Amino acid sequence: MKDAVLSAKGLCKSFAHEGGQVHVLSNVDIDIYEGDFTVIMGASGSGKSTMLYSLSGMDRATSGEVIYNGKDIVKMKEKELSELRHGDFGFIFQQMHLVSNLTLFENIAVPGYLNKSKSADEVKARTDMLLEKMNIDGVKTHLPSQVSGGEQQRCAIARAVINEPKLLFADEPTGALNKKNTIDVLDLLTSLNNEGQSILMVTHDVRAALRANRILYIEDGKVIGELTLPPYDRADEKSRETQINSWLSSLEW
Amino acid sequence: MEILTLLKANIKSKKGSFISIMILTLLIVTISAAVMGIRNNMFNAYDYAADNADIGDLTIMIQDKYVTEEILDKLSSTKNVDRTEVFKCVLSDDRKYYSSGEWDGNSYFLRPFDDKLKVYNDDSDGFLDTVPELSDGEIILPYGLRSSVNCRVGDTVTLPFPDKDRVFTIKAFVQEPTMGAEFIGWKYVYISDEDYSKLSSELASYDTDDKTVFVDSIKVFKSDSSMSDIVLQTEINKETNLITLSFGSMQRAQSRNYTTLFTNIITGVMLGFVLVLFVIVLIMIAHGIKSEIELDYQNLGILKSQGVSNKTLNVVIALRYLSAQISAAIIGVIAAIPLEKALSRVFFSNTGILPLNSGAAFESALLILLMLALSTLVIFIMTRKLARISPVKAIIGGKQDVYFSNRLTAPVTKKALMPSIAFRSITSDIKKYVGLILITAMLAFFAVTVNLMSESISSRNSLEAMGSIITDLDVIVTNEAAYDKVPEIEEIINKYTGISKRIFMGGGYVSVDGVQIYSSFYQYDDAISAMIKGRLPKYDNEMLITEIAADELGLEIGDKVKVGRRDKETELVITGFNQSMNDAGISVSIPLKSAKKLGIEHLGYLGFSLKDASEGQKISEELNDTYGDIIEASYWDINEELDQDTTIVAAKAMRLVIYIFSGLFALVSVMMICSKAFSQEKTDIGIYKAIGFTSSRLRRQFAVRYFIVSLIGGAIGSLFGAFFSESLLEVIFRLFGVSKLNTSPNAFTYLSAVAFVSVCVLVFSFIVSRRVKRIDVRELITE
Repeated sequence: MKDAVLSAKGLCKSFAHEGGQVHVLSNVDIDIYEGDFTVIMGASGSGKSTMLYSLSGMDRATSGEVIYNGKDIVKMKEKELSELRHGDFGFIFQQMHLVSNLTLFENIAVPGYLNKSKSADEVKARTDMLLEKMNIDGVKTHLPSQVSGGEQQRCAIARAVINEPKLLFADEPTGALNKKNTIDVLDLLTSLNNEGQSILMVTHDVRAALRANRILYIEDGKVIGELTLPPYDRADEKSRETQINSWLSSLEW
Repeated sequence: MEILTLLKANIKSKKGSFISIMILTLLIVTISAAVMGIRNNMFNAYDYAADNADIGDLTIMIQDKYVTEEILDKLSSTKNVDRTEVFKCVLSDDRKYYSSGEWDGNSYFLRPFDDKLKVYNDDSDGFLDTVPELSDGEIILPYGLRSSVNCRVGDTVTLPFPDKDRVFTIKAFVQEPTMGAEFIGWKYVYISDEDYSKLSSELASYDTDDKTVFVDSIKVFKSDSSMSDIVLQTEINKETNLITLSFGSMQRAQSRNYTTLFTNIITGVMLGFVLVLFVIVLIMIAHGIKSEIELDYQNLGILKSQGVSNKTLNVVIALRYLSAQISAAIIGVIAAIPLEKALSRVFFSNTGILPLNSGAAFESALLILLMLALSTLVIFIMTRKLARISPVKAIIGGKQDVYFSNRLTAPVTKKALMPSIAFRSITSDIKKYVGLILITAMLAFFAVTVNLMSESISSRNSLEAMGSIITDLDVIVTNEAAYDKVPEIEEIINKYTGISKRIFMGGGYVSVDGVQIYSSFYQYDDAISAMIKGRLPKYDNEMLITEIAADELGLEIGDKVKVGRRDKETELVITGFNQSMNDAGISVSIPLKSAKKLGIEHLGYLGFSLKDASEGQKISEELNDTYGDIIEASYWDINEELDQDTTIVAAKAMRLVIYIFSGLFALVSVMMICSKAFSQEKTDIGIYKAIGFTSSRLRRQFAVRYFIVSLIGGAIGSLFGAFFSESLLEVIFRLFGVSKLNTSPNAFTYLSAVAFVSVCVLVFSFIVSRRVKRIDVRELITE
């Protein structure tokens, strides 16, 4: 039995809309396990991104609790959340969201500088290591606007893992990429997961979901299905895809 | 119709910038309309009062023995002289003591009341319908004395005369346009007909060649109004020699200039400041339009795709800014009315002329039209960029990629994370900050200028450099026997402390090549504190002249001039230009050895600078105890005097007003610029929050960024101040009679201006950055 790195209970999120309330998440109970590559799937507007943001503390849930390390993220103050963001959690956005006036190196290093437990030299060394690993060390002094979308997303991944987070959140990280860049990014995430990195990723792309060992399906703000898979192996890709597709079909995907 | 709909929507969505432009325009229009109103009120009031009092185009004050029927006939028949009037006066020339404790060194010309003058009511806000009857022992004073010697109706004033002192009770104050203003050293004062007759007969035997008692005041009216007063004066002297023989004369233009000098300078500086503020508003408009086009690129593109023309968009933006300015201008003009009234009262105490309520409707309207025209020009130049918006580009996602200049890039470091990110934000988009750099530079330049101005008139050294005479101990000779006692007087002083400077002086009017001009007569070179060019006189045929007087008379160093005083005349050589604020800088300085040729034997004022000024009080007491019958000694605490001086207090008040308005402008500018920046940087703020920056850290970074920008602007402004402020001040100070300013700026002069502007920006941008708290990471979510 794996340990849950993050647990949500009775998680609700609603928005005010045209004088009424729209309930995006309704009473979600979920555990995210250490070392897992968990994927959340669902149709557009199902609430999968909202769930990711609520679980990561990027957005505050309307009610319920999200327990991390014995503490409820929902009740955390801004300072505690900030520490979490440049400490135990890492986040990758669909649109990369790099700071446009910082170089790729600086985009990765800045969250590292915020971490008090690491010296500037340690941060620089790890940044160089990540740049090399992400294969973007040749463009490290470039600004985001001067590199390709794939390079930007690899930089965003490196930024997300600069502080060796306990849990890496990714919101449709391949949504804005072409096929080649999508594979590169997914390979990187898989390689990180193989090194022990826990990942929670939202996607509606089956090819991306192939990399997971656990898939949750969400509809109308509720988790209505769960599929557990063995760790990813490129050789099994075809059978995995068939398995996932048939599971999704059963959920009327 | 579509313009109106778009305009309404535009104003609604850009409330912040609409209100900011309104506030800034409101401040500008309020100050300028009030200041122009004050000037009009003052100038019109002066002209009205001078016309009503029939003051004449030239007033000649002359010992009555020179005024013969023959000379008056000559005067009347002089070309361009229309008519003349002569009044008899009695002179009281030494110090006058008031029951308020103050004393006054001005020359008073006592005369029966002039019915053409208006007497102030008790509240000094209007005139009495009937002039109060003067009884024996009562006196009416010009209003300018009320504030300079702090006297009130019912107070007494002791006037010295050759036989004895006489005490008068102040009955009322009068509006006297010829020499009633605070800055003019002569004063007409009015006593009853009976007192005047009695005084004249009692003093009849005391009027001698050495001591003048009876003075005639001759008013001359010119026949050709286009002729300048100075030409009239020269012609009269040529025909009658009256100017050379006189104590002095005052042209109407001079009188108007001296009366309004102070108000003129203060309001002139304020109008200059308003001009700077208006340039700031134009920068704000330009910056606002540039940012709006960037932020609204998509919306503007969509509107264009729907057939809205560039011209329509142009007109909508112009109308929004202009409607903000027009509404602010209307409110500003109304707000200026009470401000103008209140400030006119402040200057009234100095001019002694009750301000009219004529206002400056025409000038204000002209100024507003000019402002609107310039704003329109800027708006149309800036909105030319609208033509470059492509609807297709807008619809597919907006702006083009932005590339950043890396030339000034400094690395982002862990040690200085916030400042280095702040610096990067600036260097990566320097154009965005040009507006604020210009604004802070202008505010800092003005702050440096007013700092220099305030420092120039509030320290002993700088005042001396402008030609002011500053002493610690004054000795006034009241009996000629004192001239033989100077060694003994100095012996008493030396008992307490050393003498660092001897400033023995006298003064009076002389004619220089036929033009009457004030002259200081001095014994020791210590009296010349500010030489600009040339050398001090060595021989008994040499003299100095101020640069302003030399310019007026077309004289140079080395020129020989004919100097006349009463019935004496001699030729003197100009050896140099000195600085003196006497008669607004139009004066000469003649050493005693040269002045002897003009009949000056002794100097009535002995001033001493002491090595230890704190001994001054004791010295003056001993001198008065020992020689009280022949001299009057008094000690001056220069620092205390400087603190109380009206001009210095007013200059300091003006500096405060300028600092306050600069602060207000900095606040509104920062608010407007920062809110645009927030809209542009929402995503970046979201990203920083997502990677672990707290709101307070981001706020500090934001404030530090604008602080750095304002430091750059402030430094540029201060640098300009170092090069140009002195020249600018010399133009202003020339009105006071100072042609060469010798400011001694220190680091504080510049640093305080930079610090003021930068700290204002730092604090205001930190306050405005509260909006960071409201920006959520949700901004980054793509559903």
